[in-house]
Amino acid sequence: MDNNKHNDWTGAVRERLEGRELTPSDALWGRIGAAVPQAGAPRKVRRLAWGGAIGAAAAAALAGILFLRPAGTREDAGRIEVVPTTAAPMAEQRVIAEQDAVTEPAAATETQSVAPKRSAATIKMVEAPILIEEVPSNAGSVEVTNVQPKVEEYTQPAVAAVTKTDSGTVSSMTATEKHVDADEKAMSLEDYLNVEEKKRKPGRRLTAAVYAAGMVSTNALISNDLPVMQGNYAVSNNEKKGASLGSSTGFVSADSGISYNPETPLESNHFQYYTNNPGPDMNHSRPVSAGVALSLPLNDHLFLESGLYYSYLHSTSHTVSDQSLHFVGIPVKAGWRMGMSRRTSLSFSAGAKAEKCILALRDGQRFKEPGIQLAAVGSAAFQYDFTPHVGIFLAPELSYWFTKTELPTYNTENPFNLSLKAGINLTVGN
Amino acid sequence: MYDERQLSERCARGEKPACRELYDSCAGRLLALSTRYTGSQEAAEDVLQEAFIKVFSSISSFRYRGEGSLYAWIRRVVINQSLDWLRKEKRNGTVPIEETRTSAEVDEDEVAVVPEDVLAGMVEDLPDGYRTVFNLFAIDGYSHREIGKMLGIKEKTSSSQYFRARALLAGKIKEYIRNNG
Repeated sequence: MDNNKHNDWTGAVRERLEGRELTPSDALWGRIGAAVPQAGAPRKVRRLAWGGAIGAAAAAALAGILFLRPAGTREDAGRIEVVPTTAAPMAEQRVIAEQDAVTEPAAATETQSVAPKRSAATIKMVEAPILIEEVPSNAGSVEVTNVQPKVEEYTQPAVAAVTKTDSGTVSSMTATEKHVDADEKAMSLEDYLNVEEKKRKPGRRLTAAVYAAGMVSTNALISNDLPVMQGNYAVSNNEKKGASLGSSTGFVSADSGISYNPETPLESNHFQYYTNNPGPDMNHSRPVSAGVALSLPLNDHLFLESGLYYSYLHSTSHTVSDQSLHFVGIPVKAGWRMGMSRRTSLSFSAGAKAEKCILALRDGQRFKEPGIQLAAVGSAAFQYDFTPHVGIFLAPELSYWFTKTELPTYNTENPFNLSLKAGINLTVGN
Repeated sequence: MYDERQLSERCARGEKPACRELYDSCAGRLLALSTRYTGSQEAAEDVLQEAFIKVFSSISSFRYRGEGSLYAWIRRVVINQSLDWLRKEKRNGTVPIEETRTSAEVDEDEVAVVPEDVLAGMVEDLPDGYRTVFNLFAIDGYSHREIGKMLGIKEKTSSSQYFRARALLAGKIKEYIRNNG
């Protein structure tokens, strides 16, 4: 084909000149060698990225601690509370002291032998005096019971009552056992209905989430363009338009001979250049992101969600050793949440997100990416609550990018993608 | 044959013999590369000096991705440095289309007739804007979109500059064959 001839001669020029060598002057190394530092400094951007990640992790940990702390300090009369292990010796002493008052002296040592078996949390009797009563049991035995076995909903397993018998055996019943017992035997109809209501209506509670997300899929979802995790930087918007006339395999379809840009026909040279020479494939790493989200309830099921996230896109090719784009984005979504059980819930949401490139670097050279990138998003989230205020969630999210950055990235090559978010949910209110 | 990974690690530790080894292994090719962009060997040496200083001061951030990746990285630094030089010298302007309206074309065999040095000289003698786009696109494999970003020009401008550069170069090759054939 005549066109091919035209294209080939520039390839011949390339072959002739690509490997050409010249001899540098002797003084050149002298000038370079004098300026060679002892060791290279780490790249500023990488430090920034690590700093951001550490900051986000620290913020998540701090938020978690703040939400978890009240569970250990709240003091409700007559409740059995979970206290940190550091308080355990004091709590044990108190229990033992109470027992000493009603049991024989030898029993104290036997009770102490029970204490080490306790788990990381132990029992503390708070505020209200513990009423201990001596109950005549079977011949010769003494039974110690707490007459106010009110158990907090999320109490850790711990000793709630100790029974001493004449035979010297000590048995115990854990708070969890009492909890189950209360659930199974003592739940009133009202309580039962409350639980069912909670399942049906998750409630109006403000939720903050800290999460990290990674891409799990690519444009393979909608086309068979290129293998997973690989795009080609030679394929621009226009090229894709032209290529789509030939086949769905974008880049390769140039062989069909369709000129991809009718306005400048000789542009097909470009096409040919890359088709005749496989050219520089650009490998795009999976984007990673982290962020915070705030979910505002509109009613028992509906909610609005927004937040702020940071996203990092990295690519390489044989001509570009290191391309990194840093984005900051804001998602806005509306969703529907429903309870599955007392601790689990499922939500679905849809909306849009906008992100702005705050830094684009190619081998240390800074590029401008002035536009704002827009995408439609839809996600489903499964949440498990450890406590009424703290839970974890896993959320697959489907995105479609309407706009593209000028530099080729994972998102420009794969506008339709699936990511997986995982994070911690912190809930405010009851 | 040197091992790029070990060499980059030694350079990162500031070992001068390793730096010299790396320099010796690629300075010749990189000088030719930079000369293609700047149009003069003297300017190319200045560019190469700055580029190597950058390479050695930031080599700890280089990530090895297989044999050849170190050279590709250095090559990229040299290209960037050459473009910076052109920018500073204000020699990255585009050339008005009217000045170079030509439709000369050659084929591979005709290119093969031209000696390497002469061919390189023809590229170096192209107007700065043409030369830059031709080098980036035809020889170093960048797309017009990337060239547009690198030079701060439109993608279409890059492609039209390339077309003209190509036509001008073809004319020079034809002329050489006419005079020496």
